[in-house]
Amino acid sequence: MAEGIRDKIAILGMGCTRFGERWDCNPADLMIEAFDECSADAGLGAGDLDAAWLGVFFDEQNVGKSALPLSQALRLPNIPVTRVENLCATGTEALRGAAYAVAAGAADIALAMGVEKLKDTGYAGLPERTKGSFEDLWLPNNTAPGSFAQFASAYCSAHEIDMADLKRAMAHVSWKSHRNGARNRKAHLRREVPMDTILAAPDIAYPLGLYDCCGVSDGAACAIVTTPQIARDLKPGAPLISIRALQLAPSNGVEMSHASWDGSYALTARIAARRAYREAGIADPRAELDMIEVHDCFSVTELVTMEDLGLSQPGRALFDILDGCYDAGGEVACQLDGGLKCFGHPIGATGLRMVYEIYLQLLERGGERQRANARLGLTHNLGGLPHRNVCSVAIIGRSD
Amino acid sequence: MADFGVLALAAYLPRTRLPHTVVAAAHAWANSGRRHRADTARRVAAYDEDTVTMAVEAGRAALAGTAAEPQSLAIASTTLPFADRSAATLVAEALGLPANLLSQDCGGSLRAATSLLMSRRGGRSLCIASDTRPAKPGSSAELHNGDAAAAILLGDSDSGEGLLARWLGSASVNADLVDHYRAAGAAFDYALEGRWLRQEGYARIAPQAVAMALAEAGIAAPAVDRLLIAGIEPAAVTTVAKAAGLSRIDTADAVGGQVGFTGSAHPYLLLVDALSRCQGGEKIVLCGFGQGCDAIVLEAGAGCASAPQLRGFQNLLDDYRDENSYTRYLTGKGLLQMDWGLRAERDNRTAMTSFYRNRDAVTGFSGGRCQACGTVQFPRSAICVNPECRSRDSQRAFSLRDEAARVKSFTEDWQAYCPVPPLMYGNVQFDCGANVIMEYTDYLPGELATGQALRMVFRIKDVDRQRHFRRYCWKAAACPAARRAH
Repeated sequence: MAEGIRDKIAILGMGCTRFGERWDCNPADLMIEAFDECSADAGLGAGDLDAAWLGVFFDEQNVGKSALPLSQALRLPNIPVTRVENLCATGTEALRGAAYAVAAGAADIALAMGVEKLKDTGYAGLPERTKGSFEDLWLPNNTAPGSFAQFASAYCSAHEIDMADLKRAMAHVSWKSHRNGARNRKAHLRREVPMDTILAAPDIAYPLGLYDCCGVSDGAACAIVTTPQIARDLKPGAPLISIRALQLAPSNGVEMSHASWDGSYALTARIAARRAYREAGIADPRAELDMIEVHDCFSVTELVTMEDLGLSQPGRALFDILDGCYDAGGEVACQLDGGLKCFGHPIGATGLRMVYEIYLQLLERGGERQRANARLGLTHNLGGLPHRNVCSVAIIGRSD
Repeated sequence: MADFGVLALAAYLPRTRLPHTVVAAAHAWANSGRRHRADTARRVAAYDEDTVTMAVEAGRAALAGTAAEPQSLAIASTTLPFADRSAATLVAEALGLPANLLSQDCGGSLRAATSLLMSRRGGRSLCIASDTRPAKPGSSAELHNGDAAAAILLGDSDSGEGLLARWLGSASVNADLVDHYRAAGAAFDYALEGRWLRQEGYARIAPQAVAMALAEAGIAAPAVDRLLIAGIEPAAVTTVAKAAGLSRIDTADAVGGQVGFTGSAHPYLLLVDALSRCQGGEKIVLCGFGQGCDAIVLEAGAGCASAPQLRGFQNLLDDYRDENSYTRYLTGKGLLQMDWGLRAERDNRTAMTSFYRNRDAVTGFSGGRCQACGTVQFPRSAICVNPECRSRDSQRAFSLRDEAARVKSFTEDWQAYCPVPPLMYGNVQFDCGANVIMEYTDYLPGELATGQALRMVFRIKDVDRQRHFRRYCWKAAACPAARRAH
């Protein structure tokens, strides 16, 4: 097996916009807002970059295709820019491109930018999209909540759990994230929500109620990466934030067409997590990870992800969640920044927004939501649908 | 010489039944004098059903258990979804019938289905009649029309199959009596007084056709046991019977008051009903009326009532769900424009090239069965999906159309666009091993549960309102047998 990218890439600086209904902003404004913070943090300007990666999902009603949106917005000096798209893993995919360029020695300093302008669609939720000229002929016209809701009925069947019990654990997931998000000035939704309100909310897609679903917002986030050596040279004496693992696992059709998958978990997440732990040298993730930012597009996704990441035993996530294991003060803090639940999900930006929170925590810049002695964090994206998806897992650590 | 006649026949009734009381209550403010009975109702095609999908169900039921494939397939209807696209070809592909069969669409009159039978006096022919006649809200037709399909397999008995009914003779009388019409492109019928139709039309024209058909059959009028005439009440049938010199006839009709007048499909439906209740040897005259009259004389086969498709007819009549929302009925029929938000703007343009090359999967629900490991998968692919196999080019066509399946996961999605929300879908696990994410249909909220038994049904998938196209696919519905047991 390849030795991987563990400790070959350092994060020199990061930036993240306020997420929300940014009616006054174009995507270019969002990219500049994120880059200005990142640039100041890294102590580098656009002219110092060797290459850049741009993550955008909905090109049809956003910034359009190609490298041009980023190159033009930042007036980059004609350096190579690559536009990437990989469903909800798009932001992490941009980071993977930049990291691989640095690890390969093709670039000393590289930028990963993710941006999405969802609020120009005119309605709540994600825009409709084609799945392909053949798939549109037979696949249901699903929505994201309806597709992820499939986890719930399948999970109840697999573990013989009553839906009412699962709903309570799902509500705890959202309650916890709203509590965390209320302490984050960059979050879109900054209000704690009582458990009763969550449980009494109307159905969006059974059994998911309104508060089981993440918001929809605009936002951008970015990172400048380099080699550990250059990072130490540029910031002598500062803690080194390095990427320990960056893994990606797309479905190959097994979940969609083979009976071996029971629908109660994300197969790709299990594969990506296993690879990431091996790349990062993690033997016991529950003991070693301080905090995680997972893809809580819907509460039930976060719930099954706790098992897919090997943090909870199969069938036990529900109980661990209700026991507070993943609350801010729990064993492994989950969504310290409020998660997709409170940030919404500007798809291209989300993965980098997650890394941004881990980065802040590792540098003890978490303010009132700072996790004590945070040394190792994980981010996770699950893009697509439970039966057909792309999963990314990144592990970021601090070395003094 | 072999006898010719009905080898098989079956009906399809959409599950939704609209009680006349629900319609009357909705219109009481406008038409307080309308008379209706408390126990009558009509069947209504679901929002994702049309004459094509109902024809598939009827044809499927008629062909179930038959010995050989038909040489021709024809559909009679006055409400086919396309003026220029062969419904019969589409239905044949959905039924998995050979490409070399003769296919034909027939229409133009409510008499089309009986005329179709008369044109198929040789060979093995699947004749399907299917209609969903439109009716303006508040009209008499809204109460009395019904949506249904039925199929008749005609052929010779020389293959060793018994006839459910032997063909004795037939005749037609043509007369351009326009009691109602629907101009090409018009949304609804224009109809005149029913009394004129009954007295000047049915009572004068039908007896002529009956007499000529009986003459061809060599049967004396008093020997007739049943007279089946589509479109009029039993009392009016009795009037026709008298005028034709028929005595002792049974005009009982279990269909009209519960299903409605189903247009061109009605003669077939009446025959299904009659054969499901009659004795072998009974003489039946089946009439189709519309700008004239067709009359067909049949003799019931021995033990016809115990044929599986006919025994199942009572189950069809009993298996219904009453629609208690008049606005939901209107919405399903496209007669009420609800605001479904911006998601309803979805562009459903079909890539016809892709549809053509994938139509065995889309229309025939054909997946693949790996010859190396036996894994059944949908869609069929170049490389086997089984992680332990991965054989290349190893899959043979395998249709999931009639395979048993269960609900693996589900949702009721209130955000997705659906003309009758919520949209329901999820993972379906087939007993043969295939796993397919599918739309569920004919369910109401709260009815779905994991593990439920399913039956595959051919339904409308999407309507492209910009280009006046509709596309179809297979969906999963509750298995009727399991529903009855439940």
